[in-house]
Amino acid sequence: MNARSTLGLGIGKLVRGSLRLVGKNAGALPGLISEKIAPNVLADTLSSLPDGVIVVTGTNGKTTTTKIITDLLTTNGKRVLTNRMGSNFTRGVVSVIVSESELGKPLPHDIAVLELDEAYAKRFVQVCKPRYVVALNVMRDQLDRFGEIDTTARLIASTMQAATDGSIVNLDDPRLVRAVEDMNLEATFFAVDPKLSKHFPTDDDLLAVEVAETPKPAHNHKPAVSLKNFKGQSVTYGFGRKQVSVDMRLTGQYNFQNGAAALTLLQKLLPDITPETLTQQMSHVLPAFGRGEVIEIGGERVELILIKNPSGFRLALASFHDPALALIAINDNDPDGRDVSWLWDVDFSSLRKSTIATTGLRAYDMALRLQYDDLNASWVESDLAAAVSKLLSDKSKLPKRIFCNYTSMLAIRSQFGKELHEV
Amino acid sequence: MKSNQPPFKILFLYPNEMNIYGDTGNAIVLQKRLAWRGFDAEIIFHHPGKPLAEKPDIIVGGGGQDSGQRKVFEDLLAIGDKLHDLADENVPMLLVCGLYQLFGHGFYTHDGDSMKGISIFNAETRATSQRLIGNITLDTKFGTLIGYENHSGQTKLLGDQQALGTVVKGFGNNAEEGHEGAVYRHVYGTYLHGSLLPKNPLFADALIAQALKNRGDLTPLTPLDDHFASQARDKLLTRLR
Repeated sequence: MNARSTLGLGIGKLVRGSLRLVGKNAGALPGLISEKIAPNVLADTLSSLPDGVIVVTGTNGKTTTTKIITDLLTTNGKRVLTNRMGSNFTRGVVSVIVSESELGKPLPHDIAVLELDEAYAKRFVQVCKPRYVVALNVMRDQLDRFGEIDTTARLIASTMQAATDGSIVNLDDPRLVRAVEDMNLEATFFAVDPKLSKHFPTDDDLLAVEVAETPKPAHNHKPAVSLKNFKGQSVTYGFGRKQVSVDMRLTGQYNFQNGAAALTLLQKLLPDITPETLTQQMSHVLPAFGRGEVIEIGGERVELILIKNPSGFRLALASFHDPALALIAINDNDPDGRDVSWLWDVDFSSLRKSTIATTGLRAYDMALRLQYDDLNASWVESDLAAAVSKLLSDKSKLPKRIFCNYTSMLAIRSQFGKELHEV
Repeated sequence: MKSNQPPFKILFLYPNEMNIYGDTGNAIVLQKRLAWRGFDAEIIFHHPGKPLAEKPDIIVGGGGQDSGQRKVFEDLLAIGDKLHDLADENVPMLLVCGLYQLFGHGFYTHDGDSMKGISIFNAETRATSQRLIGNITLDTKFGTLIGYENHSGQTKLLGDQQALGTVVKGFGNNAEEGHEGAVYRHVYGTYLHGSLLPKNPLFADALIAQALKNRGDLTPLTPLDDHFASQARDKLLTRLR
């Protein structure tokens, strides 16, 4: 590590300490400051890791996939550096390094597993070459930042190109497969069994108003790991001819697909551990912060599901088939996007058997959206805390589920911080 | 269903290319408000290179990215004469953002490049480096319209081209003049998405009433339960104050 990087890290730590003293959560600011002072702080620090750097990218599923990989590496004795807080921008990554490093010493870790959003992943790999890139999917999101979906696919393609040992790629995402073929990239694939494909539409299938199915282009690739079947929490993965079934703690079919991505990578990173053992270990992984995690508030169990964009919301809805008490919390603060028109690109009819309520600054907009899917919001309470209390006090036996966007989730967590327990 | 007549056709222009800001909501609202009143209604799509469907009752179209606009403008020129005829037959139309711009004389980029429009509106749009973005409210003959705008093209109304309304909060057609949208007969162009019609049911019903009138049906529209729409409006108007 050179003197400038050390200085950068030192000042970053100082800023982080001062922010802590005044009671502010440090977030990405220390990283920003370190990065300004020593632009190569990332490359310098991460290059010391003996098992290298893994980048997880794609529109949906990054956080859960990163968590599965991190948990299983840790279970198998690796010391893992990860940006667990969902700070998936470069500066967030530098912030993690600032907090984990001791000045002048190499990082006390074996490997880094980082979730990076598509635009930052491309910039990140220009300064730090990853060993493997896990490419999950390309879907419509944040068009104001990325431009359009084909641009997003190109960002991921450049990221994959930087991997020294290869990429782990979703065989069911035609844009990613095309990128691998066009650029002749080293890739290992994960897939969903064709008989399940109706449960896993691609972005083209998801276009709100179009009914035509997009034919998937032919290819000759074989997946290293595939999701063979699932029923409730019972999930079967295929490794070539071998099949392994487990009961997962993670919920939702998309997390089962993310599991296939993680297993594909883990087979490379942990070649001595058998597929059976890896799959067993994965069955114990708990959902990530806000990704279908189950929490307890005042003794009542609630599932929290973070939804940030139309495809994420559609996938979240498609992951649950059972009737529930569903509370949908929509804010329109800056980090959420001020514009809530994307709610019109989500079809809510799968909630028909559920009891639905709405909350947040845009509670009435959400109720109005439901009305046009012929669904009735049973109550509307703009105040988040009041709405959550009302949900908790409901005596129904149905599971309680809160679909919330970013600042409404933060508000719920901070409101109920003291009574809130991870389960 | 009042099934003695063919279903109402809501024609949605270029759903794949011009539909990034939830403009689907406008078509859904028209279909549901007809269905809730007992009229069979279907949403049909127009794609580039395909013939324009016969006898649409209402036409809607949305906004897209520059690349989307570039993919459709030639097709729009090809169906332009038909759209002019339909406009003159008083067919109600609602065009938002990118298609509003192309229903004027055209869109001019910084480097003098241009996309020609079909000139139903006497208006032209120029690219600017300023993005006009945020919640917007207007005074119009349909009452206060509420929506969200997000555009860097700025539109000038020419000659005696009538605007859709006067801006109360937000920008509208351009950053200077305080008017928003354009009207020709029953063709409305506007920058308001959000989606526009769900929170502005009076405007939605005006389009529906015109479509019924074109079929010779002058019965007043049955009132619908719009209490969520009024509460969503009240909430936003209070926050914008």
